[in-house]
Amino acid sequence: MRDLQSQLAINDRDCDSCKTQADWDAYYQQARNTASMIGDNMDDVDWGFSERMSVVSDEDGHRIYYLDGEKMDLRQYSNRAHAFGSVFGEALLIEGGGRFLKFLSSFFKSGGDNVGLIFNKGVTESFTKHAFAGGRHADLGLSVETMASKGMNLVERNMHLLKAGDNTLIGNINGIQKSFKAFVQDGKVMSVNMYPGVSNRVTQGTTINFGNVTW
Amino acid sequence: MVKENQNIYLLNQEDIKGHNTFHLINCIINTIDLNGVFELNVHLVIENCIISNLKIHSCWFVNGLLLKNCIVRDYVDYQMGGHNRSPIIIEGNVFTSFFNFFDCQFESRIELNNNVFIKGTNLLGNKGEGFENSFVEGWSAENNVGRIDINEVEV
Repeated sequence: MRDLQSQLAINDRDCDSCKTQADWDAYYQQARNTASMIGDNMDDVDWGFSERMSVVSDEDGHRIYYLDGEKMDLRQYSNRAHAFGSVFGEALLIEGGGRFLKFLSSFFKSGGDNVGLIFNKGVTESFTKHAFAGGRHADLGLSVETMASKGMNLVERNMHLLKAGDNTLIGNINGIQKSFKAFVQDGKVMSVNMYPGVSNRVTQGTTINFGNVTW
Repeated sequence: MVKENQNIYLLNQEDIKGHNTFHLINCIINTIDLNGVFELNVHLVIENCIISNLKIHSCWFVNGLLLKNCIVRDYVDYQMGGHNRSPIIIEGNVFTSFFNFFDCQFESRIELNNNVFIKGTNLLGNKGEGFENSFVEGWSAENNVGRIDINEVEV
């Protein structure tokens, strides 16, 4: 398995087929499917506990997944076959023919748990007013507007991982530890918050590691 | 608006909006749901009530809150709160579960007096954490039973 450094060295930090948000949503869904097929869950993958899948973030904060050291771009059949091959064996891939391709297609179209999750009215405005009060994220060296926009985008990109209740997203932005909160109720993200540092206090709800992000 | 001596299953923003003050007295309330209600422009007074679920995550009591002589039975999670232009007064209540104040920015005073926090609260706790509460016009806390400076976010 190639290590992450060698992956980065060959400028492999991009999903070639992801042009729109819908593409990214599909890409993340496919990554979840692959994790499920190899017996892992995405929390394990995102926390670096999976033996076969790994993840890095590109400069826009998108997560790029690797399976057995190979960058995944599951919209291409060869990658899908690779993922399924690990479970069903190459013979089945060859013998399955059209029926298998049909199954494959339906499998990858399945939606995530949070398809349709939306931001509640006023979330962006309250996030902007609250999270950046007192210049507490001035260490990022960015304007409030830029940080608010990128912060909302970061939460939106992790929308598929959010669960009802309290969600804590932790990671590094420009090498500085930052945490986000997203509170979900009735299919809506009711509020988004961002605060300095990453705490070791035990918290309720879901914790998501968004990795290292450059803003 | 005054609601008195009632058994209320759910009270939410729709019930409260449009009033300058909303006064609940001597009620048994299953749920008050004000989660995510930014800019609540009502002076809310809740007095002598039994409340099972007090949901105020991300609620901004812009015109203040008086919570007085109530029993609150479930965990209260008050995150990203504050932003009050009038005082928040919590007085003479019994909280049977933990009361979590998380990254609240109180622009006017908050007063905690004569309460019983059976499992405590962290209004003055979590010093140095990125989510420590802040107080522009200060706070007062007198004669409370139970710790109000716990360094946790749940107990």
